[in-house]
Amino acid sequence: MKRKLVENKSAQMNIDFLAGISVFLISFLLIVQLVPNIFIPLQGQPVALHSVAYRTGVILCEDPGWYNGTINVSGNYSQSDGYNWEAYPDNVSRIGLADNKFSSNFSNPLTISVLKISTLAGLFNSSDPASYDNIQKKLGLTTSYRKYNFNISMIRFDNLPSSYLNQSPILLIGKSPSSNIEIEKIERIVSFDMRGLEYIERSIILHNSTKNIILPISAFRIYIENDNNNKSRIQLNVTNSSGQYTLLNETYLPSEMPVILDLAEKLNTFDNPTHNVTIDIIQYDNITYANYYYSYAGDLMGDKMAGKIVIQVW
Amino acid sequence: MIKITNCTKGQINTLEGLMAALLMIFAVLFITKSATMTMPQSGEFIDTQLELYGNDAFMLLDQEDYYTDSRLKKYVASWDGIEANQTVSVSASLNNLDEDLEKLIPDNVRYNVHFLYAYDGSVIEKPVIFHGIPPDNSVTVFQLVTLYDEFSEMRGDIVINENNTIPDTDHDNSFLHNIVQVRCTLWYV
Repeated sequence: MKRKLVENKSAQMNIDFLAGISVFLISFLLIVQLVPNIFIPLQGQPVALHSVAYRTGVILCEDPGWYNGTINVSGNYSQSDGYNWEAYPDNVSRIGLADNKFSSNFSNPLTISVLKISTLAGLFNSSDPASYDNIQKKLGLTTSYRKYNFNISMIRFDNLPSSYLNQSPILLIGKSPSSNIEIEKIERIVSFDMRGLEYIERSIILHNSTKNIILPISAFRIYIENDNNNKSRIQLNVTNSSGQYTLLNETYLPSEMPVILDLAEKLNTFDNPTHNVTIDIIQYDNITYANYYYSYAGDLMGDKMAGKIVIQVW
Repeated sequence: MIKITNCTKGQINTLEGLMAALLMIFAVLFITKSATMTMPQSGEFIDTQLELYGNDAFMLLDQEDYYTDSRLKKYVASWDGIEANQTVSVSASLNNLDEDLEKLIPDNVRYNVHFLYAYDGSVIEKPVIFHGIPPDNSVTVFQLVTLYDEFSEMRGDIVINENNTIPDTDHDNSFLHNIVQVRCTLWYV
């Protein structure tokens, strides 16, 4: 029996076969391990990121946000839910910057509330990571499987940050993205109200008066009225470190009143490294009333200020 | 046993096979790691931003509220009927519209604007701002503007320019003048 087995070689495993199957198995295992990695570059990371950036832009610029009402000790609502979360920043459930729907009969998408912007800016404290996490959560950037980092800012159309009169940015929150990672960016064009707000200086123009301003400026408008039937004349000179120039020297007919002049672009041509200019009112004839207003927050579009909200996520 | 030791056939073939397999695996690995894969949809993301630029700009220009009248409606009504082409890029009556769009839309984006309106059962398309021939991956957005016969019906006392070629579309005595589709084609340069 024993002998027969040794002599009969028909059922023995060939070493070639053994080597072959090992090579096959090793390469098969390697491939199994590699296959998921092969498709990593094809996976939809940018798709996910882009939709997150888009969604955050829509929530911020087209939605007024929401806050949860507070319940007092007796279990009753002491304050009901509502849009005006800026009044109750501790109870905010969703952050949105669009103007409140009930504050006027007209509601426009992409018209944002300045009060909501300053409240949002106030919610963020760069030295307190909890404030970042809180905003991240309220913007829907914390999901069950990952957290999205964000950077949200408001800029002007010359791509400089929208600023208060003292040049500090109005809205700049979130982390600074590092350069070697994939970032998705969405820009929304928004408008905001320009009446009686702290980022606009408005003043009556008086003859022989002088005004110092810092350039580059995003909005500088002069408004002139004249009730009598004579031609009005106004001349403004601008002085920078290299000399004095005429900014405006015009005569207007009574039929042209009221005159609205946007001079920001022209003023910016006098910008130089000192960024400081002086405007002198040289001529001021037959003008009943004139004022100027200027801002670093955004550009004037009709009677609205316009700027851009930039959302970056990664 | 003796036979195996003596038989030299096939031995190097095994090593060759092993080496060839490893070589192929590493070649595939090398190629997949080094080649940068471009997402087939990545072009569409750019389109979303273009679409947003166009829609947001129109939305801003067409805003009407207690303090503001629609600038877009004013521009459409004040059009003097002159069409844009290669030589005349903007009709003089629409310079302000072009300036507004120029400001709102970033410098790396170009745009054309057309007015479309219906008359006698057909749609008439007039180019009014022409900044070049759009490439295939351009994006088109539009905003509808309603014009009325009497300026009192339109906020801001808008008057239709006497040379405006947008006809009164209705044949009865209603105040409706016409509905104009302001179409903007945007593309990256």
